[in-house]
Amino acid sequence: MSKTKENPNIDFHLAQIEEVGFSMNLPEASKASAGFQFNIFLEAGVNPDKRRFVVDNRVEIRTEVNEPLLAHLIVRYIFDLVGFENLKKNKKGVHIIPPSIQLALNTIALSTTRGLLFARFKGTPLHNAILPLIDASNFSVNEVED
Amino acid sequence: MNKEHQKEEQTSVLDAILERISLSDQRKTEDRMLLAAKIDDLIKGRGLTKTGFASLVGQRPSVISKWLSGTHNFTQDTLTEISLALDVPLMELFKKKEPELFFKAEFSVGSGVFMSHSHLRPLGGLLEPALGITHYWHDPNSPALAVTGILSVPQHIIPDWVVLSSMSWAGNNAVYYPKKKDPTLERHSHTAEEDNYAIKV
Repeated sequence: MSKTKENPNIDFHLAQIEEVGFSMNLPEASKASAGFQFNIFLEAGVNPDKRRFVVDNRVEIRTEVNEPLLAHLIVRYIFDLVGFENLKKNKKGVHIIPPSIQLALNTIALSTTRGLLFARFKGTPLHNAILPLIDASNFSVNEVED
Repeated sequence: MNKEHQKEEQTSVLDAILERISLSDQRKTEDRMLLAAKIDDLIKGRGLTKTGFASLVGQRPSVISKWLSGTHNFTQDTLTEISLALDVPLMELFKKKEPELFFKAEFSVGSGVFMSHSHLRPLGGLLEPALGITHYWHDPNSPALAVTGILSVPQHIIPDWVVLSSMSWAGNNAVYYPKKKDPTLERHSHTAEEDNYAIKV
């Protein structure tokens, strides 16, 4: 699904979704009625042995910063990779992942997490806590050193 | 027959073949491939060629090619010889590669209280360094220009918060200090605007 002019020989597909953790603090959640603050942690890596991408996404929901946690969800997305041998490596032997693929993985992970959260929250006091649309190309700074 | 049908047929044939292979055989093949890939990586990591490695272990290059093909069933003694030649403990050959992390980020997104009140219009934003941005909203149908909603967005006064839409914001939790000059940061600079959502990116 990721084949582009930029990456003609690399392709991947979502092979597995693992819900690693979920919690909802119902007493606190029942008090929440206004806006929500979503803290999002996103980590993406490549597993060279199994030739796949692994994206971990954790979301914590509060009404405001430093307020009690209302809910959290941790999801792992596993993408099978076709054309692994076409990934280039840097001088240290670490694979270089094209930015367009990073972007696609982040976007897929965030949007799938939005759906999973909605499915979990439907009919609960957090029914309206919908993860906002996020432009994955714009949102953050990659903390992994080059 | 079109390409889609051909592909479907190939997939079903492949599935049928895979079903006939026992789990044990699949695992054996996978482990052989992984071991060969590991040895290949170690050889390359030491800057050796196949010929160079062959002379180290006293074998012909064709034997090395067979070893690295992923089909060879190594004996314990051969693996010991390989680990000695590569100067690694034997167990290193079986160690799985750590996933290579290529992206890590932590950020926050806020969703507003006015999700279900789309008729409200922004009246302007007030930049308050201690609090963040306070947004004022009003109902255009109301006769007076009264403020009908206030939304304070904390942690907004950091360089890399961006407005995603009129209802949501995103940014990193901590102020980001790049080690080298990052041109994208300039794009993230913000200014208070009278009649906007207070942040301009």
